[in-house]
Amino acid sequence: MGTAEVDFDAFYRQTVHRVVHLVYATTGDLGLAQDCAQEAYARAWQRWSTVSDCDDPLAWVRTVARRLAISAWRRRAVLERAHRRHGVSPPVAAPNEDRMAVVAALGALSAPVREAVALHYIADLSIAQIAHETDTPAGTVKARLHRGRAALAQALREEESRHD
Amino acid sequence: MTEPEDREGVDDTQVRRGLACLREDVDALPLSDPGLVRSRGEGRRRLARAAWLAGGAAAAVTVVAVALSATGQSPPDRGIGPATPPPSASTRPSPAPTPSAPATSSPAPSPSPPGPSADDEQMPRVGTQPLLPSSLFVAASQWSSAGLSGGAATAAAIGDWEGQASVAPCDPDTAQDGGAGAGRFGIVSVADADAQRFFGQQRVRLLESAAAAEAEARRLQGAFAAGCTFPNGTVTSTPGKPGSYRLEMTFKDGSAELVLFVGVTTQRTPGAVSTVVVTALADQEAGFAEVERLLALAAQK
Repeated sequence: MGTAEVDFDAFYRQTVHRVVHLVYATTGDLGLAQDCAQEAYARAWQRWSTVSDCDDPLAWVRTVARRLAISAWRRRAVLERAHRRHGVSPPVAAPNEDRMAVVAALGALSAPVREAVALHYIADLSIAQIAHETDTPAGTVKARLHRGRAALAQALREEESRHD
Repeated sequence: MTEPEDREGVDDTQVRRGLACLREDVDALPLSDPGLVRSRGEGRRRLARAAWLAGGAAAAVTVVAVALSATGQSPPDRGIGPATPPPSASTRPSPAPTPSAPATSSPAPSPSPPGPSADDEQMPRVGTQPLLPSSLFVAASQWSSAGLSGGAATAAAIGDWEGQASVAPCDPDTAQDGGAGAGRFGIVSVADADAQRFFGQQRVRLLESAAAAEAEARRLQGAFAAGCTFPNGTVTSTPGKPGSYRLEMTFKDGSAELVLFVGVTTQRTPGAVSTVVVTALADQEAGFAEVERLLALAAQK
């Protein structure tokens, strides 16, 4: 196996769970997260000589995975609308019961807020880094994080109290 | 009563705990073998190459990525997500022509030959925000010709885009949308009316001055004139008229060669520089004729 393969394999093993985790939190769909992450790594390998030269190859993979997930989500939304028009219920994957509260709470946030929360808490990005990565003013990111944190915490507390 | 800062800390802990539990789901997943992931990447590469050879759709774009730095085309609204992060240090590197490379034919050409006038057309395009106006691009309908599309109508097309500025192999403009130094660029991709057959792309980069555009045109020409290598092969360049090149990609793995034509020109709009790529032709005479025709239209913009 060549050096490129060894480097890629090590990079993949060290980072793939973080990318799946991020996309999972952003979409609430573990299967989709896994598939988008794999596709992002496959694309990274496709142009590994360039990606591996980046300052932060993980940022490249993370962003491609997020873009793929969002595109897939949109396609799914279109499909679901079509199903509804024809009176058919689309197949819905049941999330793990233990995680339903978190997934539901995340799902109640708007997409940009959810994304800011995921990037901050899962990818460990600072406000400045999120602003850079999402092409959004830092003040907006800060406000989204503030709103997201409060809403998510509140939803999780309510969920916990229901089970107490 | 809880102070706001205390409350934020409590919320912070709660959110971290909630999100951490999702990680347990992730950790329980079997990790795909990296070899399989690499195979998937290789599969994409082969598929793209095959689609290119068949004159097929969006893969015409993807295959360029094989060469080096990836490429792009995509939906007109970039709202699908955040900007791609920068491969910061590697954006917009200087070209590194090899000593044996053919010399750049001339500084940035500004062709303004007699010929058809450039039309304006509203077209879907991708690139940095705010998107460059359609008026800076050659109207997609004007890509139609007997030589390129067999006379069939052509239209701007959309597809997947990963945020890269690159549109051709050896392209030194490796800026990434959202990355430091991305500047302002836009890309229009052109296909037939059904978006089944792609003919090529035009990238417009808008710089701060005409002098900067001239310099950028020279930089691009130098890189395309030099050709380049990529992990699976080599790109050999043959110059045409000043600013246009035939690029032939040969692959170490024995895949069939690929040919495309690329041209660079400054535009009438101060600071604008165009890179036009024709992907649907292999014949040298026809390819140069088409790329030069399109360059002449781009120069009027």
